Amino acid sequence: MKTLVIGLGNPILTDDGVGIYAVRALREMLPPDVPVDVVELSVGGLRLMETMVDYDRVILIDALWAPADRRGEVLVFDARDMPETLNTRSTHDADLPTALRIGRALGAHLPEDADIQIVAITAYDVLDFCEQPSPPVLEAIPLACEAVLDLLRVPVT
Amino acid sequence: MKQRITIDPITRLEGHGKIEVFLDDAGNVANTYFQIPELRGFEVFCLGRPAEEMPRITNRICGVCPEAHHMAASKALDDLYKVDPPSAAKKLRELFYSAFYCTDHTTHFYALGGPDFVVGPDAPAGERNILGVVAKVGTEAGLRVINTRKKNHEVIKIIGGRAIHPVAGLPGGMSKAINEEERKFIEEVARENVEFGLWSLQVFRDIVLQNQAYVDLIVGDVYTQHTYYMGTVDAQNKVNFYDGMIRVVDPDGNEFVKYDPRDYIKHIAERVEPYSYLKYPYLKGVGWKGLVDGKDSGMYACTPLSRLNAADGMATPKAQEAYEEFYKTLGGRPVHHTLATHWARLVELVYAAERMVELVTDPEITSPNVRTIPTEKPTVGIGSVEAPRGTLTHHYETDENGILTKVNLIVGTTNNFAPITYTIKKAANALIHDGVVNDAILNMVEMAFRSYDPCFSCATHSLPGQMPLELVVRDAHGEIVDHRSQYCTPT
Repeated sequence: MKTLVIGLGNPILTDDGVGIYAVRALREMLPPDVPVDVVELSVGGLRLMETMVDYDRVILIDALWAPADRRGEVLVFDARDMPETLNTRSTHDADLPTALRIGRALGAHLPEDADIQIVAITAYDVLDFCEQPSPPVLEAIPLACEAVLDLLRVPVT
Repeated sequence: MKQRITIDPITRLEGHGKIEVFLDDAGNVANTYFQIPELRGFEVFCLGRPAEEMPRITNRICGVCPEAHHMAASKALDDLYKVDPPSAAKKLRELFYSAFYCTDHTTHFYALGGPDFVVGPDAPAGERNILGVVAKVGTEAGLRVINTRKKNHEVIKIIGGRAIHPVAGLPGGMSKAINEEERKFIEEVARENVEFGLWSLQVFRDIVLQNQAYVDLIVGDVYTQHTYYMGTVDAQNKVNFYDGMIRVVDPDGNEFVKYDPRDYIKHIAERVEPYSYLKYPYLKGVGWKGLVDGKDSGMYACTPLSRLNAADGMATPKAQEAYEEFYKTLGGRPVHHTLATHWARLVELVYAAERMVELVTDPEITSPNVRTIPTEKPTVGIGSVEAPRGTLTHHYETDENGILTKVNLIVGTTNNFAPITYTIKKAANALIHDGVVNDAILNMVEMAFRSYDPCFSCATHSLPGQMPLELVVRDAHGEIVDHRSQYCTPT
């Protein structure tokens, strides 16, 4: 399966950047013979969907907005568990489920929802400018990387 | 009993805006406030950094228009280091920027503002999205939108050096030129953009202008306001997105002032109100009279509609034809109908596409001479471009080592804060009566606002999971008498 790992987020918005920092850490941990592409992205919706075109499987690492006292947890789920809202939630975009529907409706080769796996790190401070996540979120990065390696069936050393 | 209606946050708004409508005893609108969260401390975050980082940092403010920030920052650096880029570099930047306009205006029309019209303002919310547009206009529309985005993003990547957050802009020009092979590809994309822009205008004519109910909505009083209009113009007073003078016309369409973007501070002041972090910019030469329209109020707008109003025409032939049709249909310049902004956006789309063709077929466009090396000491630099949603100004001051000591950014949407609030107020006044609140009315209020294509983005891409929307109705004592919500913020 042609696989893509995406670290999603904005690296200057504190906890929001955790997906970016996680894939940077993941690159160090991935054995060179594992055939996956790894990218950093700061976009959602249509551009995110467009990035997934022609892959069979995608693992998305992203911050998941949560209450402050639940920061730093790692959740693994797939796109089937993402709520299906047809409203776009950005002024310039569609949400991911809508974007995927559009892409598929137009005949793009996209992974099945079950093959779009999300490794989410619960985050709280996504509105303040800072070039690193808050400590509880930062500490969750190794756990998130292990979750990705587990999904890729790479032994964690 | 007084009620407070809260729409929080607005559908399809990046970031979290909140409209609060206060009702009087009779259930009619007493006051309307539009609040947005502050973007906390970005300017402070930049202080102490080398100024040349700004084109790369500021484009992280926003996942929506990184290209606009990249260009405004690059131009501010030209000014800061007192260096004039070679003409090939300026053309390359403008070519890059025109490709960006093609993607941005396309996305707004088909995915965001367009659904209100193309699918219909009374359609259920679940259908008022790009899939609804595809269902109505046909699969071809979706394919063309996706294709336009994809190819123009490729152009942005070729010239900007990176797909999403470009890096090529430097003080004095660009870090790299394009070769003939790249030029040929860009020319192909540019010509397709022209066809696509003209096709989109036809979609607008067929679906919107042929429907009297939509036309009535556009020209109706609810969405009409008489303000000053701002836009960047070239030496012939034609619309330009990348460079020129700032021209402001009064509500009668007469030139009020024309100034160098560096002089913005002489002409624009900011009004602070206690209920919002965002300030209301207004014209110093007229003065702040509150949220009222007319010639005596310093409120101004800068949007695609404003740019058309502030200019004497478009610099390319097909866009000029579209411009003339626009004003002929709507009764002459200036047009005060906010919802006509969607149409104006398509006129600009055609211009951006035609301008791309002009630039990419310019013999100089592949010149390797794209950089003038700065030699002067930096002091103060101000640069501006027309972002799709309004004039964007970057103002930097540094010490002699180029370390930032002052940063001021006036973004497109900030310019429009007063007219956006005024439009919402007017729409709410006309559309909420006797305490009747339903989803259609709420959407009509939002339509007023969406025509500005506002962006309060701080590029937060955390998975929200669901689309948050909250409606709170309170009585005069602050007690909640009605509360509907879906998918709200964790607390």
